[in-house]
Formats: sequence, C-alpha cells, structure tokens
Amino acid sequence: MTTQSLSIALTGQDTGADTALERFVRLENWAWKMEAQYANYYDLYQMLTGARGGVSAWTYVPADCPISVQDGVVTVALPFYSYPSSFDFSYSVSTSIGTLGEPTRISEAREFDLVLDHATRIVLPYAVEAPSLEWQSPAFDRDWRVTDQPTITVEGNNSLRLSHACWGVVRLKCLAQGYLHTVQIRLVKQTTEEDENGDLNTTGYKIENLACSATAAWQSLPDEAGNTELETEVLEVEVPRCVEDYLATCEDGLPVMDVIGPDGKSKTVVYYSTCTGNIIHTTHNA
Amino acid sequence: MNQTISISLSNPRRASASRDLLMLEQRGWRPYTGYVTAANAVAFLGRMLYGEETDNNWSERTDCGMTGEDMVTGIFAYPAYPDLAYQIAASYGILSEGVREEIEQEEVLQFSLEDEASTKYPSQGIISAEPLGDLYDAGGGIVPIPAISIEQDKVTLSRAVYGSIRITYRVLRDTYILTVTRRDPETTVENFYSSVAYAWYDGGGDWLTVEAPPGADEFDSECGWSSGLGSATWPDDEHNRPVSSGADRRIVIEYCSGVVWSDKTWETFES
Repeated sequence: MTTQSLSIALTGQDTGADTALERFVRLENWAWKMEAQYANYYDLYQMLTGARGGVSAWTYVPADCPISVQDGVVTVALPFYSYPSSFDFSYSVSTSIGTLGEPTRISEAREFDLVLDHATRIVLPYAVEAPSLEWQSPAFDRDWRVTDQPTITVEGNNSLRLSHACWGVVRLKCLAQGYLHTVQIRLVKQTTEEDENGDLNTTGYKIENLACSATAAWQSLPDEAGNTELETEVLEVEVPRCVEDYLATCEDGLPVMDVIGPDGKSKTVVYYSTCTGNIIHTTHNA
Repeated sequence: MNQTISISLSNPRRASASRDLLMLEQRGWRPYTGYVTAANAVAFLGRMLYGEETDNNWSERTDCGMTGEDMVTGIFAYPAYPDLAYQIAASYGILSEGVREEIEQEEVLQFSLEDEASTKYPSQGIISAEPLGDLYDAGGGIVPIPAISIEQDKVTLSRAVYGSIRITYRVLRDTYILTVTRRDPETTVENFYSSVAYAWYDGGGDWLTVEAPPGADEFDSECGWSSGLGSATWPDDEHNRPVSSGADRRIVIEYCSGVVWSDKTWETFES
C-alpha cells in the first residue's frame, strides 16, 4: 500500500474554517471513454489489416486503453480523482495495490444540470472556482405552482445557498478543484511451459479479477468538545473493460483444441496460448 | 453519460399518495445502443474479407440512439385519469405533441399476508388476475383468489393472503418525442445532451432526468467509430513479432472496402 499526504492552500479563496460546515474528500473514477472499453469498427479494421500484414491481432491495444506489455510484464495505469471539500485541511490517499505516482493538482472545467429538489442548501461534489449558474426551468413550489426563482449564492467554495426552497433545474459551470492520482499496477503474466519431464508448469501471477481500491483519510472537524475523528472515503478504482478483456485472454494461457485423426478415432490435443498463439504442448491419444 | 445532481432534504419526488396522479418515464434505449455488436462485427468482417455488399455506411449499422445530430427519445406520461389537466416540458430540447393510447400492462404482485399492493403505473381498470401457485391465509391454509379492486396504483384484496398474483390492467399513456440538439461545443464542456423532463398539474407533478444513449457525448452519431488512436504492441513472446527479414513486403489495401490492390514482395540479400 502506498500513501500520499496532500495539503495545498488556495489563494484568494474563501476557505476559512468559519465557513466550513462540513469536511469531506470525494473520490471519483476517471471517466473512461467507450472507445477505450469496447471494440469498434476502427479497432476491427486495425486488427484485420495488421493480421494481413503478418502482425497478430492480439498485439492490438485499443485507443486509451491503459495497459502496456514490456518484457513479459503487464503494466496497468489507473487514474482517479480526489476532490476535497476545501483546501484548508490535510488528507491522505492510499491504494490497496500498486504504486501511487505524484498527484497532479487539477482545475477542470465541469458542467452539469442540478435539480433543486426543495433544498435550501446544496453541497457541491467538489470545491469550485468561477461557478456560474443558468436557470433551465421555471421554479415550482411544493404544490407545483410556479414561484419566484430563488437567489442562489455560493457559500464557501463548495456549496450553494438558496433564498427559498423550490423545484427547478439550473446548469452549473465551474472549475472543479482537486487532484488527479494514478496508480501503476505491474503484473507478471502467467505462462505455462513444458519442462524436461514433459510436465506442464505454470509460473507468474494469475492476473484475473484485478481489483484496486483507493482510500482517502482525514480528520473530521472538531465537535463541541473539540474532539476529532478519522473519516475515510473508499473508491473501487474502475478498471476499463479493455484491460479485463486483455488480461482474461492471458488468464491461464492454456486453452485446448482437439483434432480428430484421419482414422476418425485417434485424437490430437493441442494446448496453445491465447496470448501469443504459440503451441505449448501436444498429446496424441489413440 | 449525463450527470445531473439531485439533492433533497426529504423525499418530495412523489409529493404524496393522494396527489400522485401523474408519472413520467423515459422509453428505454434498445440493448446494445451505442455499441458494435457481434453481428455488426461479423457483417463488417464479411465485407472486408469477402466483399459482401450490404450498405456503404458502417456507422448506420450501429444503433447510436441518434437521429442525425439529435438525440431523440420517447417520454411517457401516465395520468391517473383521462381528464387530468397537466403540462409537460423539458429543461432542454423540444417536446412533440402527445399521443394518447391505452395499453395493457402485466405485473406480478407479491403479498406477504397483506391485502394491499401497488402497481407500477396508475390503472384505468383491471382486466384479469390469476394466482401464481397457491395462495395461503394466516393459518397456512390454501385459499381461493380473493376479490380484487384497483384504484389508481393501489390494489386491494378482500382478504390478506400470502402468495403471488399476476394481474393485467389498463394504463393510460401519453407519448411525447423529445428531440435534444447537441449543445454548442464552443460554449459547453460536457453533458451536451442532458435534459430534465417535468410535468405538473394543479397540486402535483413528476420529473425525470433524461438518459442519453451510451457514448452520446463521445461519438454523437458516429458511435461505431473511434478517434482511431489504437496501437499495436509486441509482447516478448509474440510469435509474429516483426524481425529483420530477408524480404520486404508491401500490401496496399483500399481503406473503405478493404480490397487488396497490390501485394508485392521484394527479396533482399545481405551483402
């Protein structure tokens, strides 16, 4: 497990403790594109033309798939975000497996619809800079009568305060403040080879069910007695489908192909690697 | 994927049972919308390898859930009774006029020594009811199916039973077509097609977040293709790993059809 401690103060921001009503760190997965997770016509075309040119289609890695193979070692790089509610406290981030690289401070443009469902205070999913709001609907009261749109003010840098409760839709644009983390996981492919006695031996790690969890930990705000407690947020880091598919093909490297002999009775069993296509072992049964 | 954040202090989504006279629902995307299916892949390879002619636009083979540049989806409104006067709107996009129809809905209701259950949709009347297996009373005795009454979404039995009853009931449904044009990429960062549909009447209402088809923000109507940045890697033990060879081979393939135009090999000799 690797752990990082993070503490960066924003300048020019109202992040004082007196305005902080709560303290949290939200972990969020990287938004993998579909083209990194599912094959499409472009991928098929690349594999097909590669195969025609004498290059195995197994070697093709789809765009943005965070996997590389070097010297028999598969390296998977999984990014994720941490968004603290403010930048006036320290927190640590750790992962269950792999090595965490240096985090990158980010200020990402985000935009989404926000349904005001009769709340007078809304905690945003991250600390924001330069927020702007645009109404997308009329405001309704609890009886669904059109009412005045409330005044919305930004409180601290992570919440909105409404002058009165209503239902309505606003579109929020902002710069989300946080960190981008990347965990590198190195896996030695499992291979099966025939030894001098003709036995099949398997070496390396079985690389299936790859799972990695990230944990953020911080001290809560002090209660009335001044006590704090450790709080945590856990995220199952999303592994793109392309990685799982790639690893699944190398799960044991030992699929079996049966060939019936010309006499219709004898059978040849061929063991081959799904990763490379190499024939590992062949047996003949009369 | 759309991102809409909804935060509430209580649970006001369905205001109260007595006012719960309208329900909204989005027509679901068909399975595999936005994805290249195995059948798509087979057709594509058939064309590339054997020149099978089907159509010339591969992206049209994949259902992207889009009509041209627009996301088009159905919004269903289920009023509790025919005369309910309501209005419907969307936070973004254009809604068509509604088309009213009466449909039959089938549901299996579970009773655990209860005499009430709720249907998914407001009902206009029950068509049939049949027990699935035996029904039991509190003493464990098998009992015949009790009398059933239904009002809006509330089903009432004449006695409490334990068991399952399949009912078929009539539902009033208004269908609206929501057309969402992609937001201007010059001024929009993400969630290009996000929208919230809402409907209201005197005293109540309902709303839903409209789900865009998978990959809508990424691909628009070209979901079968990617930006094309994939690459080949060569594991150490790859048997087709390129090695220095005694010959050069050049294959020219027509990009769209996959037809091989030329395939030449030049022998090279080490001096």
